[in-house]
Amino acid sequence: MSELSELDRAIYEWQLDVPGFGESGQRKVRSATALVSRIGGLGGPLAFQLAAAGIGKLILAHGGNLRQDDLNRQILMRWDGLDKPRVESAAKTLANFNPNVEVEIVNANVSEGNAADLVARADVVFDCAPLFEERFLMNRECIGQGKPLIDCAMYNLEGHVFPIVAGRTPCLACLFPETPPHWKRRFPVIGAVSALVANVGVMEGLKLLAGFGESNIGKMIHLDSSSMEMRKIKVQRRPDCSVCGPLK
Amino acid sequence: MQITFRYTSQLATAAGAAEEMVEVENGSSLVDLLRDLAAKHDTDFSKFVVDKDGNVAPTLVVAVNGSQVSFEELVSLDKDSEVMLITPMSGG
Repeated sequence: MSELSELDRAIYEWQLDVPGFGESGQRKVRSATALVSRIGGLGGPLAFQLAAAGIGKLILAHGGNLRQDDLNRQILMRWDGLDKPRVESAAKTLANFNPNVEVEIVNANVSEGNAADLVARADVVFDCAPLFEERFLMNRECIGQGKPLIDCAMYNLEGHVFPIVAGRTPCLACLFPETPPHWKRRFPVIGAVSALVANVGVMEGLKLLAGFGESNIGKMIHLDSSSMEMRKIKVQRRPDCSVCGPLK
Repeated sequence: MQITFRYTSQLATAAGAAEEMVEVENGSSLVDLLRDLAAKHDTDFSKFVVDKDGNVAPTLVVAVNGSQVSFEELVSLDKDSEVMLITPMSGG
């Protein structure tokens, strides 16, 4: 684990004073690599906050070019990035924000071809993908490689965060054992809701990395911004789960 | 007795409300409750609760008072119970 530089101490001074986090927590975060799958409405603000927290390295995986209808929520993007790769816009924004965070961009979505390698190079994975095929892939790789996975999702004025740790908690396939037949790729959401969910996801990830606060592994944190209510649901492990069932 | 059913995401949209009070008979099984609930609503709602064969939809998560329960469980409910029906969401 690397020592904090004088520049680190200057940038992260305010959070170094957070009880339970401190220099030890900052060093752990500064030494960590996070994979963020998709950097849209959820993954964008999530990666932004990880950079603000001083994560050592971000791997951002997202294929395709920026569209106008991304701009209500994808806050890493910039107007001059329209019709260009989203990951390039995101990398530029993050570099302007804090050039001391290493950013690796992958102009492709997580797939069978790259999932194992991307997860292997990360200490923690944040799942913000819209397609369940990608989400199940990351779940499978994280369980297989023993990497923590912070599953983040949203719809309308709601969202949930579900921190998963292989062998200790249920996994995404325990929660949803198959691709939801009625889920639609295009759904209603307000950008502030995606950012709210993203920030809860970041906090769960930072707590796991740095070992402070009260982790919510194995619980689905459900957020309803319509009423501003938050509920925690204790999720059950499925003994016959095709992904984590074989683990003791 | 009347029990609060709370709906999330697409199910709440289909129901037109985030919660509903449902009349429940003592000793009802969860599966029967869900089937009755599906029968009360139109297919926009019921498709998230039961499949075309009348089995509980595999992607429906049911929580009672903050803990997920399996459909096969005999769950005892009282008037203060909250049953939460959770349907999937994703990123984007």
